[in-house]
Amino acid sequence: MKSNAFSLENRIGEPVKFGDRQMIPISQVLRIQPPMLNLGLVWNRPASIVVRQADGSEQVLPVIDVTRRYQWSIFAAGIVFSAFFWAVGRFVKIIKEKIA
Amino acid sequence: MNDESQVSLEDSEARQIDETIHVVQETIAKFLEAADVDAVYGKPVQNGETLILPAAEVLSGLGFGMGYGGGSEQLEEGEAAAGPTRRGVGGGGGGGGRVFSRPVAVVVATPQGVRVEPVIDVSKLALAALTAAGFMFGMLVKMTRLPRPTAE
Repeated sequence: MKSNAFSLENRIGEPVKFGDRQMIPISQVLRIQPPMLNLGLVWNRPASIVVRQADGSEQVLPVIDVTRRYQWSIFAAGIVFSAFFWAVGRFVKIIKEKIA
Repeated sequence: MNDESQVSLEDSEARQIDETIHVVQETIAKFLEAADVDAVYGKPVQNGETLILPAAEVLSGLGFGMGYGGGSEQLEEGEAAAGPTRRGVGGGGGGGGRVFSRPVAVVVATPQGVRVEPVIDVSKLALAALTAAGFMFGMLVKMTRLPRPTAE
């Protein structure tokens, strides 16, 4: 059986019934298994919930990882502000050299 | 006698390899269970007219290694007739793995509708803020530091 070293796929779980509705959980799986190495990594995260109404209409509710988004935003802000301080420092240094 | 002992050694060697492969296959199967949807979504909890479905992200890593070897004693001339050849086999292996899990959101279903409530990890955000602040502070200090006096 041939297996890929990297695979990214969506998996559908068992529907959960609630009243006349059905909720279908969907997860996203990233699998890394290098073929010649005895190691592997599986990253499984919730992707969305599909809500199926009694009349057959469907609604997709994405599951957003708010903590991760905030985390990346904070890191990005740190890098942007650091770059800004660096640019200001360089500018001030050049001005001082010109005045001197 | 010599042939019999050699056959039993080969049998035990084959049995050891079979057992190891079995253990490795079981471990890989458990590792791959982390890729299942059930690993991410918990069992639904009903409280009155509200149904709660917890959702978490799962990160699982595994690595292992093993090796086998065998050898026989090098006999000098004339010793071969004196007794059986001494032979030995050995093997070993090891591995490790870790599973991380973190709550991401909670799906709340009520008669009014279904909504996804995010779970915010304040400790992670505080750590991220401290790291970013430390980085910015370091850059500020580097920028405002006076130039070193040159040696004359």
